Amino acid sequence: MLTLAKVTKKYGNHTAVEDISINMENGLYGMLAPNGAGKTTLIKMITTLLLPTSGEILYNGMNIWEMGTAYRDLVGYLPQQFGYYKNNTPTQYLNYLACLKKMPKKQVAGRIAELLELVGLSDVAHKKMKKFSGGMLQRVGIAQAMLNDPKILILDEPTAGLDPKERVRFRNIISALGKDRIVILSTHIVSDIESIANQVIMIKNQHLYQMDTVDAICNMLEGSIYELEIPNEEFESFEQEYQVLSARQESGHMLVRFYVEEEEGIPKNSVLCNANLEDVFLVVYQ
Amino acid sequence: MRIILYECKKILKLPLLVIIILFTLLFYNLFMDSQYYPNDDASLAAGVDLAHILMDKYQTVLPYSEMGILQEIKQQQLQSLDSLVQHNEVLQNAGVKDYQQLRGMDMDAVGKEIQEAFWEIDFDKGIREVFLYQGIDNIEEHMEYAPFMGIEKGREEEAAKKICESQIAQDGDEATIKRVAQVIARNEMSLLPTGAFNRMAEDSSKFGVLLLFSCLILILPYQIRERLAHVNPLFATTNTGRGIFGKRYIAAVLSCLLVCLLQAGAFLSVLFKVGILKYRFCPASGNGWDYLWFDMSFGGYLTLSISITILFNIAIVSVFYLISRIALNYIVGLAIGLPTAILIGILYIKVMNYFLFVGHLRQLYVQFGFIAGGLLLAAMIVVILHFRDRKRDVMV
Repeated sequence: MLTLAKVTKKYGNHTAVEDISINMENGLYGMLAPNGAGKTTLIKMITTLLLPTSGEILYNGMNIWEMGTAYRDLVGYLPQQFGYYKNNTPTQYLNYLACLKKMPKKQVAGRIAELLELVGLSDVAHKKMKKFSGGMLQRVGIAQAMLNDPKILILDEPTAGLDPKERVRFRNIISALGKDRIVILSTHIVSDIESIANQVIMIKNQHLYQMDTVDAICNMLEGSIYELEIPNEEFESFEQEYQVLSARQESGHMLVRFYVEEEEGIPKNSVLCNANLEDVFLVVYQ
Repeated sequence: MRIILYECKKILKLPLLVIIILFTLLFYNLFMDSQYYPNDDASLAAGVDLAHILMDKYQTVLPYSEMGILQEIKQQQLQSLDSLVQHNEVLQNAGVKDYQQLRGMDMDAVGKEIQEAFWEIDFDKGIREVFLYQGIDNIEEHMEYAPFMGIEKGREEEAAKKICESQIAQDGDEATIKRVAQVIARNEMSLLPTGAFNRMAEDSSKFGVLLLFSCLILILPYQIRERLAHVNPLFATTNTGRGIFGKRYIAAVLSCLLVCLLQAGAFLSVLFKVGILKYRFCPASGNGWDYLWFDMSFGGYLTLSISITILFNIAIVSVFYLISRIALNYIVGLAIGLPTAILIGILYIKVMNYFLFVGHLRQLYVQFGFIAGGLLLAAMIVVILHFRDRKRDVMV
């Protein structure tokens, strides 16, 4: 179990995250927050890149800083900006990282082949990475994070810059990995985690706002999300009165999805809808 | 260890090694004099001839008691020159009987034909004999006004003062005079030609600059490439990657050491090829007025000089390492690294030229201070970076 106990990180007077307490067991955790909310700081603390200013992070009851390399042996990390050597092939790069992770030499070749197969890169295993697309590089990133078969897999904004097809592919790979380990997927793209996360961690104003299942989080807005057809010319005034979550142009009118806090303010003919994670994201981080 | 080997492989890239080879060839052709030794100077060649003649008989030093051999050699040269004069029709017709008579003639007052005959002997057919003859003449002449051996016991200091005044430093300090007195009291002359000694002493400091730039070419692109690849945060989360900076530094030092040793091998090969290494067992004091502060053989001096140069350059690797750690990109790295290397290079040539040669005592202190300063600076950089990298927040 990975436990964050009252974790705070400050840089001088600036507080990046404050008083965050979370317990995580095996499963996929989606960390959802807009850019700058402190996701990456939190992740850097979990990966031991940053030391918390106060509070502690425990793995099975032991402080991860005291565990040192023993803890790092359990971690797989795909940073937001995945660094690689352009002139390396995936095999060369993974070999190097296996060396950094102190993996036994005998296991390395087999493990690399297995992982490249998993992420669908076996056919380009010996091609230089400078010719790879963003999606292919992210898949190399997943492979390197999985090299040491980590108990904690941390993925920081892994789908940023990927096309929809690559994102779906990526999601499927991640989904399969969360069965027997803690997977923390940090993102501001709601669809990345909506269908695969067991739990969603929401951070707002540097604090933990909510941590729950997708359904439970969506239920927070139960009875507050509506859809309504309005004439095009009324959209501007409607937008000023209600928090519009999405608007779609249809034949001669607009289909508006919006949030209302109190029942009295609901316009006539509005249709109550089930809230989705994107609605929650937009309402919480408005 | 595996990581260090990986890093060494990353540093020792073939294109960079080719650049270093090309730079080395250019550097030798532009700046190094040893490769032309002794053929770039006929008087040097004569010095070499004299040394070889004497080394056959005396190995490394000519004892004062055997000084008479110089006269014998001089006579032999004179005989050869006389023979050349006697076989020259123009000179015979002009009534010139021997070389000394020819030498004593006013060349402005004689005809063109005699002038040409004189030049032919002095600068062509008899050039070797002439220079050998003059070389011995010079030794004898200097022995007259600043004797460097055969000095009566107790008068060494007086002689040393004379040598200092005429040859070393006008205002030779006490320590310099004492050292010269110590050397000349030995009553023997090293058979190491002064030209070879000087050439080597000058080229040693230039060799330092060659090593300096070779290390710069190796380190700067490597470290900046690592930074631009943005791999550090990822590496820092791995078992051994946390200490990657330290390992990179060790790899940089090892790679530079390898290149420095190869360069030293190349330098020694040049010295071997031109014949300078023949004198490795001779005392490092030249067959004239070049003295070192410490007693050692020429081979010992060569080894010490090259070793100190390598040590200093390995220390300077930390300066380049620091520059490449703080430079934002290649342009900034070069903009800082190149002038730094040039500045250190100029200082190195200025300070380390004629390493350990007796002159002003201050010069010796400056040389030692310079080397010690380089080592201290390196140690400071290593310690600062070590503590900076050990901070728990990874600086990337």
